[in-house]
Amino acid sequence: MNNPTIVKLDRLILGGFCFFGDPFRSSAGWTEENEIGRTWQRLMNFIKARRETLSHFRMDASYELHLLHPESEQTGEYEIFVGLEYLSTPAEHPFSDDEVPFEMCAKILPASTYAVFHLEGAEISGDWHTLIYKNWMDSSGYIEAYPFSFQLYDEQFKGLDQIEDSVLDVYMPVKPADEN
Amino acid sequence: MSSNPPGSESIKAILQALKVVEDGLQKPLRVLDMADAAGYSLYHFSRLFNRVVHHSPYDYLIRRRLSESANDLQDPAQKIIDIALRYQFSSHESFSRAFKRMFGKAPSLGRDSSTDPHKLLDPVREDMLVLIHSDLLCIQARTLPRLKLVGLVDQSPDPDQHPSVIMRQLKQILGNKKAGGELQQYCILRMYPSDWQSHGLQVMAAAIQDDSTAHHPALTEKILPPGDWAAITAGSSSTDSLLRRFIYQIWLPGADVQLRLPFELEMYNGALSSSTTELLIPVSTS
Repeated sequence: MNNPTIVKLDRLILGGFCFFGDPFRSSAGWTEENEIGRTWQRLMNFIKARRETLSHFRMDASYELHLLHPESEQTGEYEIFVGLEYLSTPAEHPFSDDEVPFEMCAKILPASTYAVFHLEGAEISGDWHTLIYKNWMDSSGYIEAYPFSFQLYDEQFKGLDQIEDSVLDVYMPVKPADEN
Repeated sequence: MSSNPPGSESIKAILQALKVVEDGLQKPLRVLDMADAAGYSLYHFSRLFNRVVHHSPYDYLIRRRLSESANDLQDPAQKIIDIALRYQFSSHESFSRAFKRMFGKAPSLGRDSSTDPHKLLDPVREDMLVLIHSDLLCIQARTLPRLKLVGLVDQSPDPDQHPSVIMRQLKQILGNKKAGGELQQYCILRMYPSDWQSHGLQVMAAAIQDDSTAHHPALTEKILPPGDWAAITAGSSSTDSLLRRFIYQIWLPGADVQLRLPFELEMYNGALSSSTTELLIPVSTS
C-alpha cells in the first residue's frame, strides 16, 4: 500500500441506507451474502426502481461508510451506510420533499482533511485498516479525526468477482496529531 | 463444506483471540481486545471470526460466559446476582434475560438441574476449527417419510457411547437381510428427554422396516413422523463427541432451522461400525 494523498473536502451529504450490528453474522465470507451486501442490494434496487427521484444525486459513484459508535469497541457492532452523494446546493432548509426520497436516510459528514489510500486488487479484501494504522498513521503526524472511514466505488471497481482487476479509494478523516 | 477455507495464519490468529476469551470470561473483555489479540482491525476481525468460528465475536463471548455461569449455578452457595456480576452482566435482570434466551429457562431453574450440554458452548479449540473447515464435513437437507423402527432399547449416560451390545443382539435376531432379500437398514436412534444430562438418554439399536413386516415379540417399535432432517457427515478423523458439539453448539444456533424433535438418527450401511459417521437430526424452519 502506497502512502496516501492528503485532500480537504467540504461537508459531504450522502443519501442512502444503513445497517447497525455485526454485518457478518449471517455470512462472513467476502461475498455479497452479508448485511453489507444486503444494504448495497437495497441501494441498487432503489436506484433501479426510483431513479427519477435521484436527480439531485451524483450517479457515477457510490459510497460505503463504516462508522464506529460508542458501543462498537465493546460489542464489535458498527454502522454500515451505503449511499450516493447529494449534489444540489442546500437552501436554507436543505432538504425539501422532492430533493431526497423519503425512503432514504441522510448522512452529513463534516468538512475534513482526508488521507486517501488507493487500494488495488487483493489489497481491497485484506485488512487495510490495520495496514493504514501500522504502516502510515503511527508515523504520519496525523491522527484519526472522526470514527469513520468511507470507500468510494466508481467505474474502477469491477465487482466482487473481479477484485484482482479492481481499484478502490479509501478515505480516512485525519487531523494533525498536535491539534487540540 | 469449506469452499474457500481460511488460511493457517487466520486460524492461528483466531485461536489467539479464543484464548483471550477464556482468560477474560470474568473480566471486562471487549471485542476490540479480542481483535487486538488476533492482530486485526475490528472490521477485519469481525468478518474473519464469523467465518472461522461461525459465531459473531460478541455472541461467542456472551455464550461462553453464560455457559460457565450455568456451571456455577449448580453450587447453591453462590447467589445468582454474584454469578451475574462475576460474568460481567450489569444486573440480575440482564443476566436472567440472556440466560433465558440461551437456555430457555430462568437462572433459578438452572439450579434445579444441570444444563443440557447441547445448549452450552464449550470452548472452541483447534480440533473444532479443523472440523468446521474440513472438506469432509457435509450438511445436507433431507426429507424422510414416516419411518417405522424396530429394535432394542437401552439407557445410556453418554450419547457418544456406541450401543454395540444391543446392536449385535438385534442383528442376531433380524439378520442381514429382510424377508424379500433386501439388506436390512440398521440405524441407532438416540432419544434425549429433557433431563438427559442427569438421568441419561434412551438409545435404540433399530432396523427400518415396512408396515407389512410382522411384529417381532422381542422387539420394540417406534414410529418417526415424516419431516425434514439435516444429515451431517464428517471424516473418520473427527470423533462423535466433536461432531455432536459441532452440530448442537456451532451449527444449530446459527442455522435457519431449529430442532424439531429431541432425537438423533445415526444411519448404518450394514457394517457394525462405520468409518464415516452420518448423523441425522430432525429440523424445522424457524
